[in-house]
Amino acid sequence: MTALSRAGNSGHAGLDYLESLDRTFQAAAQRTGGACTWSLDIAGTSLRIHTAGERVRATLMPAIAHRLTPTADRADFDVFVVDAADSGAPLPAFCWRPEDVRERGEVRGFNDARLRTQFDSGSWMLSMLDVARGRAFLAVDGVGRVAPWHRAAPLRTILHWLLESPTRLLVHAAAVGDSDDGGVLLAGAGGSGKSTTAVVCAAAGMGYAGDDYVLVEIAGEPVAHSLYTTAKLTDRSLALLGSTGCSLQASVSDGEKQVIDMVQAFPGSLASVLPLRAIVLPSVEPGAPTRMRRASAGDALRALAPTTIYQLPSNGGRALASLASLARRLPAYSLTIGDGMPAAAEAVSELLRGSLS
Amino acid sequence: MVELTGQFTVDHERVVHETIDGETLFVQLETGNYYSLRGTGVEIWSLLEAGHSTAEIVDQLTRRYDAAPEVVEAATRSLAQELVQEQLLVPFKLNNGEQAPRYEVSLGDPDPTLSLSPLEKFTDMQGFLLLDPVDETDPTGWPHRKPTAVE
Repeated sequence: MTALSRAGNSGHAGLDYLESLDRTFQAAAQRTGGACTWSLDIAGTSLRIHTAGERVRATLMPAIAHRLTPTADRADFDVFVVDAADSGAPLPAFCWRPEDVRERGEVRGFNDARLRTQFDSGSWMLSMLDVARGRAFLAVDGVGRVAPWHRAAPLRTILHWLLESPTRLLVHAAAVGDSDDGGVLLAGAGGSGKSTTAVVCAAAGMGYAGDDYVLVEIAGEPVAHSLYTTAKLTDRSLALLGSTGCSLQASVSDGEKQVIDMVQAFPGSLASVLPLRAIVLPSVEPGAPTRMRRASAGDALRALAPTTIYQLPSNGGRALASLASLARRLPAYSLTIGDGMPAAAEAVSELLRGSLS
Repeated sequence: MVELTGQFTVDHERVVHETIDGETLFVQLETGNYYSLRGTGVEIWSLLEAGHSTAEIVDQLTRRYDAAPEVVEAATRSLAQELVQEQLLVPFKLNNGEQAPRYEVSLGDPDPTLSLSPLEKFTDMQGFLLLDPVDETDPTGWPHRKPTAVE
C-alpha cells in the first residue's frame, strides 16, 4: 500500500497524519493545563516552541533556553512538542510500517517536497515537518525513554530541517573562541577529543558555542552560532579535566557519556556567535606532547563532512559543497592532545591570537 | 575488467564528491563509506567523470607525463575498476551508439612525475546507516510499544 492510497482528506497521507498529530497536541495541552509557548531566535530565524506537559518541557528546553526571546505573536516556524505518555493523549497510529523506517530513521514514503518525517525507534521519538506551512512536530511516548544525547541536543533533526539553506548548515563540530580574536571549529568524529578540547577551552576562559553541533554560516565571513548549552564527556574526559582542577557535575548520563550544563559549569562562557578563524582537528594521544600543526584543507573536509552528512537526515549530500567552501577559506590545523589538557587550550588561544603561522 | 572504450557516469543521487587541495573526497550516501584520492588519480577521476573513455585518458596522460603507456593504462583501468566496484562510478550503457555526455577538463600543470596513490577507503561511518530494528510494538499495533518497554 502506498502512502497516497492511505491518504485521507488532504490527498497526502503524511499531511493527514500531521493533522492528527496536531489534534493530539491540542488534547495533550488541554489535559496538562494548556500549552506553553517559548519564542527563540537562532541566527535571525524566529521559532515558537509550543510544549504540552511540564516533563517534556523540563527535559528538552534547558539546552536551548539561551536562545529565548520575548514571546512573539508570529515566527518563521512553529514547533509543537508533545509527550503522549505523560499527557495521556495517545499518539495516532502510524500510517507506515516498521520496515518503512530506514537509515537515520527517515520514513520511506513520507519525505518529499511537502513533508519530512524521521522516527528514532531508540528514543521512540517522531519528528515531522510540514514544509509549506512552516510547522513541525516532535512527539515522544514517554520522555523518560528519550536518550541523553537528544536531551543534550533537543530538536536536532527539526532544527536541521528548519535552519538549513544554501549558505548555512548544522555541522557536527564544536566551536570555541571569543568575539575579539574569533573562534575555531573543532572537527572530528566521536572520540576525537573535540568535546574535551571545547570544555578545557571554556575552563580557560574562552567563549563556548557548542561541543557537538553548531550552526555554521558560510556567506561572507564564516561564523558559528551556538545551538546548545550542553557538552557530552566520557568518564575518562571528566577524569582528565578533574586532574586539572576542573570538576564538573553531569546533569544526565547514558552510561557512556555524561551531559554537562555549560551555563552552570562556566557561567558567562556561552558565546552565541563566533566569527571563525580556523578549523582545528584534535586527536588524543596519551603521552605525546600537546602541539598544533598545519593540516591540509582535505584533512579538514574529511574531518567535517562524512560525520555531518551521515548523522543528519539526508539532504542529498548538499552539505559537502558547503563544507568544502568552508575548508577552502579557513586554515586547518591538527591538534595533538597529550596528557596536558591545559596545553590544548593554550594552543588554541595562541592560534587565535595569531601566534601560530 | 573495464572496457578501454567505455565511458562512465556518476550517480549523483548516491555519490557526492569535492576536490580540494589536490585531494578528492567521495561520500557514498548509501553505503556509509567515504574515500580519498590523491595524486594523478585525481586527474584520472576528473577525466572519467567528464565522460572520457579510458583509452582517451591513457592517451592524454601518456602525453602529459613521461611514463610508459602500459603503466598509465594499467593505472587508469585499475582505478576505474575500483571506482565502479565501490559504486562511485557507473559504466555508461551504450544504447544505439549513444554516448555519455563528455566535456573537456583543464588539468593544470602536471606534477613532475606520475603519482599513483591508491583509493583510500574509510568505513568508520557505516554504523550511522544501520537500520534500528523496531521490535517493541504491542498487539494493538504500531506505534504502541510493549508494556514491558514502559519506563
